[in-house]
Amino acid sequence: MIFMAIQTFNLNTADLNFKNEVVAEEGGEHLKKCFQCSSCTLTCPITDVGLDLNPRKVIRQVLVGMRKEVLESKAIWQCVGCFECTDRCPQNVRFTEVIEALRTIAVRDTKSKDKSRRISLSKEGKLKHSFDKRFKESVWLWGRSWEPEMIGRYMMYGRGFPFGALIGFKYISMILGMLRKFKIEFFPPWNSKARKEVRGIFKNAKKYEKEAKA
Amino acid sequence: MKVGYYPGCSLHKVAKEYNKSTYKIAEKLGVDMKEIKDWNCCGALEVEAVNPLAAKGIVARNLALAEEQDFDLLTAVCPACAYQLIHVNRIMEEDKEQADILNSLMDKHDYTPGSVKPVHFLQLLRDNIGLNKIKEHILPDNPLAGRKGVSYYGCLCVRPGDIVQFEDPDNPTFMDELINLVGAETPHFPMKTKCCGATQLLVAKPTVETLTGNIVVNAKEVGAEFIVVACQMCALALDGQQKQAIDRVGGGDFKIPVLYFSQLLGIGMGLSYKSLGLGSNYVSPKKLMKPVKT
Repeated sequence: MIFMAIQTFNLNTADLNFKNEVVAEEGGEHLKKCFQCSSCTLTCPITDVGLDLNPRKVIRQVLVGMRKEVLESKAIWQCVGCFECTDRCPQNVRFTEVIEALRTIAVRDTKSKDKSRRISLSKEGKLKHSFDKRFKESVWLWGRSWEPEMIGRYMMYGRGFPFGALIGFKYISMILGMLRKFKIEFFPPWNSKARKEVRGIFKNAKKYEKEAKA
Repeated sequence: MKVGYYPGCSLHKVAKEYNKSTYKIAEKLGVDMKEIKDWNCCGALEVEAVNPLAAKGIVARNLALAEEQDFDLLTAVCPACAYQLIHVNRIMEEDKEQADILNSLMDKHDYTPGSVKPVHFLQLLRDNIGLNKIKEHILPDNPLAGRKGVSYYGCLCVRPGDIVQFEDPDNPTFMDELINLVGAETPHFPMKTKCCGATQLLVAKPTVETLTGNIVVNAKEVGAEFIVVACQMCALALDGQQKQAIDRVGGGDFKIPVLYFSQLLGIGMGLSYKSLGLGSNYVSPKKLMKPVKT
């Protein structure tokens, strides 16, 4: 016999505008088309191995307005972005992009000035966001990612400075394996033209976003 | 037909054997393929998560470079790079407004949407070269003939189907045809398009090991002697993390060599072990190189 814990949620605390907020975000446009058929959940590899992520549940939570529960959950950070749900969805909800939108909102709201909207990221969220940020910084620095530098900084900052780097012992076999096959790039990629222009694009994008906001 | 080659960040060192073998088979098949100059990172899915506009901008720069250097086709062997190039090209073709915004981000380049066609190298093999031409180069007595191999596509190679538009996302078959071409059998492999999660290797290692372990153990169960992949990240998980992954799901004690599709064709064409970089694979494919006893 299976016992399932029933979660209760007080609808008075629901944020009814949350779904509109997600729809307005890039990637969340098709959210309201969902008719809860569960195709996404059945095909999701992450649900399959028994983790928290359940695409159908996340969509339902967003539609009901469980803002804090969704944005602070581990689930939205466990997606590996394999697009299987996007492909199977009969309503073209594009869940992988909905997840991207939710992550963007979550990151933005950690610094929200409005206290009632401010959320704190889950541990998984902090790690994934840290990784994404290091990747972006690496692209900004060299014009392309330079793995040893990016991974080194991620190990240091992602898990809490300065002792987070100790987590690296988990990866020691992987790093040794790569070293044995000469697969680690010791010298930074040097292409000053690419580097300069990529920095220019980042700068212009920032400027454009600022103008669009104003 | 001039083909531009976009290597992407991992191909020069992390997956150097993929790079090497791709050049080798392109040369053998008579494809005029050159690396595009001054390329930059495509941003993968990571930059897009932090800064979506700039992520599209840096991809547009690569497309613009390919246009300036007079390439008709732009090919990448990394599915994530190929996906980004195809995706941004499609956005710029369909949405004029977005195209103008992306062009305004670049100071020195201007891309005319649709002037370059980005494809994955597998698609180039299927559409521009064709199985018949590849078949002419395959030796009938190559060491893989008579063996059993499965193809593993992973995620971004065929998905999302409406953007990549390469093969049936549920049951892609082109890599199976390539395996049959070198004379090997292809047993039915249910995990063909299940994700290995390799992009999260540094974030959620246990998850990735479980996902990968299920794939490798399933390949063993259907009787495969080798796995063929088309992605360097899949290889990093399936090949580099194979032992940990099998241990994680308790699959027993075995090893399966993982080959890139370019190495598979190279072996079929009789190219040397060294020129295909087979020594750089984590699980040594040496035992595949002896002819099958009959």
